[in-house]
Amino acid sequence: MMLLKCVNIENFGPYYGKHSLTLKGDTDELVIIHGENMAGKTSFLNAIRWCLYGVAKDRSGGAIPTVQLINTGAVSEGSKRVSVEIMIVDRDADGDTDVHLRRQRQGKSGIANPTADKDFDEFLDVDVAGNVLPDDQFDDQVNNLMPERISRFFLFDGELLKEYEELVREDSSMHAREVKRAIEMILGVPAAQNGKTDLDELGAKAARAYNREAKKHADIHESAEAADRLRDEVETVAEEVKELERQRGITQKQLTDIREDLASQDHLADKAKTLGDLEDRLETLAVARKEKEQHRRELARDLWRDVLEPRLRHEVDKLEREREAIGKAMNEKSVLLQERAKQHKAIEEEKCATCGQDIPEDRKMKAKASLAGVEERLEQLEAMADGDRHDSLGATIKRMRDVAPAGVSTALVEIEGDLARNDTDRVKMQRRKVGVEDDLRGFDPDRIRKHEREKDGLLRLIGKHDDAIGRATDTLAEKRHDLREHQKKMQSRDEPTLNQLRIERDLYEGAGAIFEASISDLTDELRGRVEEEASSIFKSLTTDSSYAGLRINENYGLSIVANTGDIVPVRSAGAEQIVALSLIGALNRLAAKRGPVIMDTPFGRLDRSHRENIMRFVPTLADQVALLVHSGEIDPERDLGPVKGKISGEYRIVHVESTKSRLEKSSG
Amino acid sequence: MSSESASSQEKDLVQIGASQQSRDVLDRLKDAGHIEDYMDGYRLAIALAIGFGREPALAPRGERKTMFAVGNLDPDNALREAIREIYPQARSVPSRAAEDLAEQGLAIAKDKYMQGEELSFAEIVSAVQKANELAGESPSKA
Repeated sequence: MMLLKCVNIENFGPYYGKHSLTLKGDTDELVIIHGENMAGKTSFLNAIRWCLYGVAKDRSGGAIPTVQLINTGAVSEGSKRVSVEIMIVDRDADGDTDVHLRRQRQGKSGIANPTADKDFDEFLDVDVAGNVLPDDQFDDQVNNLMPERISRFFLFDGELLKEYEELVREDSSMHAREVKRAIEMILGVPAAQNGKTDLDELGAKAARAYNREAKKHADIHESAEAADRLRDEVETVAEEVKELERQRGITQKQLTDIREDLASQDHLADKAKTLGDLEDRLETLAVARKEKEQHRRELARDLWRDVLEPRLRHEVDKLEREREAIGKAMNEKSVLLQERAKQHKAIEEEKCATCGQDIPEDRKMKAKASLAGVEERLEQLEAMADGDRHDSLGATIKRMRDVAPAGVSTALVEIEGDLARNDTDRVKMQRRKVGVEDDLRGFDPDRIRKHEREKDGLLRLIGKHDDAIGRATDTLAEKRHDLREHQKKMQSRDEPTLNQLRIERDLYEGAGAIFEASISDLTDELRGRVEEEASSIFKSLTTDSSYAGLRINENYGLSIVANTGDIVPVRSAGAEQIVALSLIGALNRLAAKRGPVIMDTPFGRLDRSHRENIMRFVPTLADQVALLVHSGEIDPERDLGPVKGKISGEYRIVHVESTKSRLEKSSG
Repeated sequence: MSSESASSQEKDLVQIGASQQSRDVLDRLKDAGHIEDYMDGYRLAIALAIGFGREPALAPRGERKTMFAVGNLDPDNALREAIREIYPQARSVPSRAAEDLAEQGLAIAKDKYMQGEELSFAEIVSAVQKANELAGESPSKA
């Protein structure tokens, strides 16, 4: 049983500098690692995967080049090193053994800007129970603890769901077959297959001994010779088939690697396209900005008129008020002048012009008094009723009004708003561009073309392998048929030594056949047990009471069975996740090898009820469980209730800045 | 308005200019792409000082470097007329008043409205409008 004790990360992905996560290295251990999206949860999982197997995968399943693994901040400070160290406890019946593994890659000296993986040196440290082992034993130690093929069931992320969905399809892909082999490996099927191989070898040895003895008898000598020859030929052809299949496997692996690399390059090609789009949009924004700035300068040429306008309006208002007052004074003066003339006439006349009578003295006195008032007012108005000033103000007001505003300020306000938005958009896009450029570091377009050519060549080679395997398999069947015919002839000879050797041969061959059948029975039984365990877990996790359980297929794909006994044809993403977790739980319970389960964003697709059920189940999933969760799927206050008291440690991945995250132990 | 008599002043200018500090501000405005040429900035500075109710000093000017012919700066005499009407004391020397107002306007632009190389015309227009709305009988000073 493998248990994690400590993970030390240096400059891996978003982790700038050195970071450490310490566990008890014991059973019944549940660790929660909180981190928001983009903080570095998947990178943490990838760091463990990379240390063990030397490969970190991106979301599309492609291998991430070393240059992209190194923290960008560290790179900008000149560091070319990435390192992950894992302390493990290997527990078996004899006790605990400490195993210490460290993988480090460092840019080769003399290469200023390493881009391809070949530009890096790799350093492997392996230490078992305090003994430093040669670095070529690193992979053996890892295979002993957790072979890569089964790691997908321990280091679990969203990728498994995609693979799992392939399992349930009838026309399962090669990838699904690989998952099936991994499942059988975790369940211990290869051990039975090795037993069958051993029995075949013993059977062949016994058959040779029988043939040798048979050759001593003239009547069956010819058949014995033929059987011996045919057995040699069968072995040779069988070896040939095996070798052809091995070569096909190697070619297939090369093809898979190239396809994965192409897939990852596809992803990068998409990024390169995004970068091109961003550059185009930035260029468009820059051009638009230049045009706006030019327009702004053109409008600014007449802006002085608009800036002057409020003051001119203010002055004109003032002058108009003055002119209005002068106009009023002039009107009043005109009326008063008429009145003065009238009063003068009244004073000067002795007799009434109408009736001819003398004007009374008191009326003259009144007219004199009134005239004095008029004169006094006229004197007051003399300064105000300035006709020249009135005319001059009119001309001034006209001239001031002639300095008309240009009316450009509204357009300028709009342009400056546009420019501010243009700036915001450009800053946003520039930031995105920097992020995409980071992702594209080390991207080599020529590599895609080279791999495309290699892929075509490998596909042709696989075709040739298949033809050769087909021909060899037919030959093998013919030779086995001929061999059986000769064996039948030899059985007619009844002789004690021969009979004894035949029994021995038949015993091994019979045992081999039984083993072959047993492997089939074993896999059937294991499938049944996986179905049973997975169904039991599924029923404890699902909130839908109309589900009766799960049914397994040849590929270990699980379908949901309704209470009616029918297969549920369509299932939601959440149901898919619960089925996948049920399979993982079942495999961990039945596994020949046990190890820690580290799950990235395991609750992403689930509603609250399912989340609670799974949280209750998680501590029983494996001996040691670490969950990488974000606040959208787990609210510490609300969702950790079911595991309260069972959590042995909590960590937080803090996103410090765009290229730097920090791993902190939570105080709570 | 100033009670300083225009008659006491020298005769009006035919060529108009700016101090070194003001030319530096014009350089910054041009280099930052806010104005097409110095004349645009100079005219705007005069309007800015008038808009904020500044009074032109008509006393003998300090060190100035000639920049433009008045006829080119104000081809339709609009600025000249505005200055002559707003500042009666400068009626006979509007170009001299304009030169001092440009100095004041460029100082306002630099001190109040330039942040680094940034400058918002919208902010200037809004501030001048506000100053004149609040001014009542006499416009406030920036």
